[in-house]
Amino acid sequence: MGLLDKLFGGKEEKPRADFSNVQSGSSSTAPSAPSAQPAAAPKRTYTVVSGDSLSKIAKREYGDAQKWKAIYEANRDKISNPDLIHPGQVLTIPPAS
Amino acid sequence: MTTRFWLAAACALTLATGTACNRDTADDTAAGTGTATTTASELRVDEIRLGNAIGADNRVATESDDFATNETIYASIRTAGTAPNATLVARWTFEDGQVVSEDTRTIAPNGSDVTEFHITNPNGWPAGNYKLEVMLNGQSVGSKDFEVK
Repeated sequence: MGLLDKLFGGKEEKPRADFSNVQSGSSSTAPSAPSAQPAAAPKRTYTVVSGDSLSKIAKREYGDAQKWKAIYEANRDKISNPDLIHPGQVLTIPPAS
Repeated sequence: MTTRFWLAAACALTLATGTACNRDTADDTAAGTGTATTTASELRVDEIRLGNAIGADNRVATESDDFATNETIYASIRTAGTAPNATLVARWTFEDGQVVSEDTRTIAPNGSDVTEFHITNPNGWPAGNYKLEVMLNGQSVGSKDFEVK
């Protein structure tokens, strides 16, 4: 506020109302709508290179070689023998459980 | 050729103006009514009431538009119709435009239902004029003004 405003009775500025502690809620006689499905995790893939094995890939992807079965299960359509994967194969890497 | 061009331009201008006018009209109708409003779906809001208490049916029995500073303020919104997923929003604002609270409830109404929203302020409500605006699926379907004394 300027000096002239004070001298000539300028308009006092109202302090801003504080609503920071307002609490709210709701309820309904209608059932709640089903919540939206969570977005599916993006699908990751890995291309097999020479010298790879499922346990090596699991170690690299999950930090745990024992999780090779998860990769095997997610790629049953591409892998008939878990001990035999081929360079160039594109494997789906499921999200870590 | 020139005549055709100007004729086409005039038609285009007329169409554009007509569209804008229709949109303005719709906005004016939606704002500030507090009465029955139908959205694009079958669901509609046919009553908005304010008060300091609700009954077992979620409805404000005694309407009020002025409240004491320590009261809980309830809004009951009656909807009619069916929808698998409808979003009701209650936006409470103060006279200076500040949003006091904005609450959303997603419902699957079937027939006549009542949804209540309430706000309370442990510090006490600042005296002044307030407004409740209700939106259904993103579209304003009514509003109510009230005062805290």
